[in-house]
Amino acid sequence: MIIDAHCQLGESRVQDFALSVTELGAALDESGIDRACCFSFPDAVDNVAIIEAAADDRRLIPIACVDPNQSNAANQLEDALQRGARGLRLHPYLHGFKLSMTIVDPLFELCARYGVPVLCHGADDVPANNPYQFAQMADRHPGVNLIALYGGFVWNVGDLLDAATRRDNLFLETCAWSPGNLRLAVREVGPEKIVFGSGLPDGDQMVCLARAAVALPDEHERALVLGGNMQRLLAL
Amino acid sequence: MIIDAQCHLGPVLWQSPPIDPPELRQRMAAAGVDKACCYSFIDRIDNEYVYEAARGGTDLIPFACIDASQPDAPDELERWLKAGMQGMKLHPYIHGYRLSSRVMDALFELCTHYEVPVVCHLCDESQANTVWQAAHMADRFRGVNLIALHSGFLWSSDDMFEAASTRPNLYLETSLISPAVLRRGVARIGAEKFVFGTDTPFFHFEPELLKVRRAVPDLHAQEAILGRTMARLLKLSLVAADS
Repeated sequence: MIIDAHCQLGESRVQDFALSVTELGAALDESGIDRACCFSFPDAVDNVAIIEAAADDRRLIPIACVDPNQSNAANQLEDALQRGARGLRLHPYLHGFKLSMTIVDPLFELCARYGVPVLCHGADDVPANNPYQFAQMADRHPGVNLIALYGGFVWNVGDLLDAATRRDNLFLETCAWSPGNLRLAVREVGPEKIVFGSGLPDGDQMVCLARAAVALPDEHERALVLGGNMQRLLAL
Repeated sequence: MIIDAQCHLGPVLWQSPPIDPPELRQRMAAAGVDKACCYSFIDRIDNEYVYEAARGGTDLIPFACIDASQPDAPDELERWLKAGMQGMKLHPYIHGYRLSSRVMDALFELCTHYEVPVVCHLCDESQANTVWQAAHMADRFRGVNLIALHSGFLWSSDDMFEAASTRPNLYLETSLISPAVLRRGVARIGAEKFVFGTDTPFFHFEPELLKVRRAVPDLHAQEAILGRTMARLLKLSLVAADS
């Protein structure tokens, strides 16, 4: 099974991107990817719509996007989880918080209780989501599997790999990675710690699959990265 | 003709496993890439290596990788431009200077004199190499074609498009940016403002060619991005560029 861990649905004015359910379905048809984790753009959160979309197309795996700054963030997340969301997506940069802030803890506690992973924006763009923040939260919440979207790209990949080497519950997603990054990651942390993602609609599933194919000639490693690991993390 | 504007070649300290000319040529042949602009890895500059790799052929186009923070940077650049290198590569972030610093003036003046383009690392991870510094340098040195490698990835590509839209000498390279962003850029400022690049050996030719072809289905626009624009910037034969 191939699972894309990183698809955003809806319409973002901030990022000037849009992806409809129909378009995502067409992308899955074209790429042959079996399932896709989907969540709202940070500036257009609509978890109900995501969950409803997943009810219509069983290939979609709904992930709740929550801004911890909001006073009812925990209620929003629990509501979404009870409606069927299979994880939490965080975006420290666009929502304006540091990943390690205490306002995030209640959300992680909910994820621990519901047994769902956290997928968090983890590019090298701002200190709010740097590798040390990920390490800190993975340590503080050992019962939660934490996935760093973008895998620290560009310059923080090495530090994130180092952090993931020492933490069973810290994982890295591939959407922006070069084949070189992916090969290095498999060598340093093992294929079990890496999940495939495209970053659709910013990214492209076909291009990301092509990069993964170049990087991972080993069938067993490829199977884990492309879907086996995410299947395990989502308890599918 | 397909020209890759961004290939690294030679010894390396920490950035990547190394790549030598035979391997680069093998990859180019397999992917149908005709020419590659080559320069050192930034953590182990060896312009001699790149020069020798390119000498005697036309498929590898050598650029001088210059650390502008070094006092002998202008002498180093002139040495290699006189020898026949066809551009200058800069990396403000890693080499520790700002793109708009006055130490850049002598280097850009040399590039003006020798009529060669400048390729510069332009992600938005650092204040050392921002979109507006690139715009500033393009304005100050109108005789230099400045190519922004990575087009402002991750968050500044739209700013990059805006800056390039009013500056005939500011160009954008396609590595790292997504197909969607490339498509948007072409729609806003035209395919002739883009040059194809992979950042080899970090990325591989085939997926990055796929990216451009999926982003820009129009063949004429593809050809501009994949080689025609860079051929013009390098003053390569137009006949060859259109083949």
